[in-house]
Amino acid sequence: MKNRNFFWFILPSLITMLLFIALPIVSVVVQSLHIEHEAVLNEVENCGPFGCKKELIINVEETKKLKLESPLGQFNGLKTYTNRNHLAFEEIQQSWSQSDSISGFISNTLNLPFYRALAFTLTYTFVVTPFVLFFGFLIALGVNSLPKTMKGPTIFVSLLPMIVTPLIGSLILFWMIDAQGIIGSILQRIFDDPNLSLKASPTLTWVMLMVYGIWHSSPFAFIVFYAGLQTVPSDTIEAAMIDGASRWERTKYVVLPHLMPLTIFILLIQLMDNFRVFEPIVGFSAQANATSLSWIIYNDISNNEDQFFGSAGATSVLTIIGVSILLIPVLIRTWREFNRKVV
Amino acid sequence: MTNIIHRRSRLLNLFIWGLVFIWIIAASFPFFWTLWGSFKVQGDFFSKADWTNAISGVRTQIETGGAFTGNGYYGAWVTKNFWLAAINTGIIVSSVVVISLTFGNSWWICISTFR
Repeated sequence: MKNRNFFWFILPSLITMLLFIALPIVSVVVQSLHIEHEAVLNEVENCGPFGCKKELIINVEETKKLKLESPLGQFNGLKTYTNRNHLAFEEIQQSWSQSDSISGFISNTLNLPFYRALAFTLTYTFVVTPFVLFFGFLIALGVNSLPKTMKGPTIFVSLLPMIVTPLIGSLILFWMIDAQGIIGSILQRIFDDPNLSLKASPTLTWVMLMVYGIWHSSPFAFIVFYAGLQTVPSDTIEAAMIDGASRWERTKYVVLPHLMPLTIFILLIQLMDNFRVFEPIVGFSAQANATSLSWIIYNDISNNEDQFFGSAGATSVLTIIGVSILLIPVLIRTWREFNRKVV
Repeated sequence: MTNIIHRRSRLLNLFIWGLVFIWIIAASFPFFWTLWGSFKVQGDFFSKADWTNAISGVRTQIETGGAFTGNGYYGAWVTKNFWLAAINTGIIVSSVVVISLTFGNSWWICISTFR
């Protein structure tokens, strides 16, 4: 392709990426360095039958004017990143010097909102991602071995959890696991505990959210693996069969290596998706027991009267850094593989 | 030897089909449950007294005179303006698909032909 044609082809995409990806990220970074203006206070004297009292009241008009004059807020530098609601350097240092044991230090750290959310986000990501890969592959193998007439309906039903919006899917399950719901009641009967509630205990809430995550994301891994299974060369499989390879050996030495690029693709997408876990927490109303980084951002800006854009910006930047750290090893591996193939 | 291999492969097939069956139940049950419940009144589907009311539809029978009702759909479509949300969703979905495919394809053509 000529350079001129290349330029005209790529220009719309470049402009779109600049407008909708680069610019919002820069804007979030700038916003994270600012905090909201403090309210303008006026001192007034209130006199009554028992004397006069001086009181501070908020000057609504002046505060509004100040916000209109500089909507970004006041410059705060990196202080938002280091405050108690984010990296909490001071609190961590204090906890380190005052804690008697490592477990005490960890417990104190996990009481800080950012670290509590990070703990859940990371646990969710590292539990859900491998299970999604595993179940997706198993289901793909299973569906691939079904008779032809059964494949279509099975694929359709298997995709249902992925087709439905995460918020709706989590709401449906939320009703079902309620103590009066079908799953909640059956579990109470199985464990012979009428007080058993999946929503009350933090551990059970975490487990429930992860099970939901696996249920919701497995169809994606399944459909990608299933598509990949259709491209496995039959010659290689037949050669392996002639060599006496069992079904397990054929899967291990022929199918799995063939599907490796797809596995990396699913891994990348799942790591990114799971690190941004948000909808299940809202759908299951689980914020008392489990919060994620995305939920903190939502919490900062969901209140119409007190929106903390600076805080939300700082958490967003930290989330972007977190996703990048997670993806770097996978990307480096893919890059090396690509270079090896090119050479 | 052949018998053992056949028995093993039959067992493996049974295991795999069993797994697929369990998955189908797990994937579809919440939707069938919701579909069934959507034809019942709220007092049945969200019954605090007994979850089996969602199946039997005791209150649905009392309130509407039948085992099933379409009141939920009428309420969502007409009273809660679901039709408006459906139109909005349609516009957004078609626009996003067209825009992302257009830009994505031009990007892909450039990258794949660049030397």
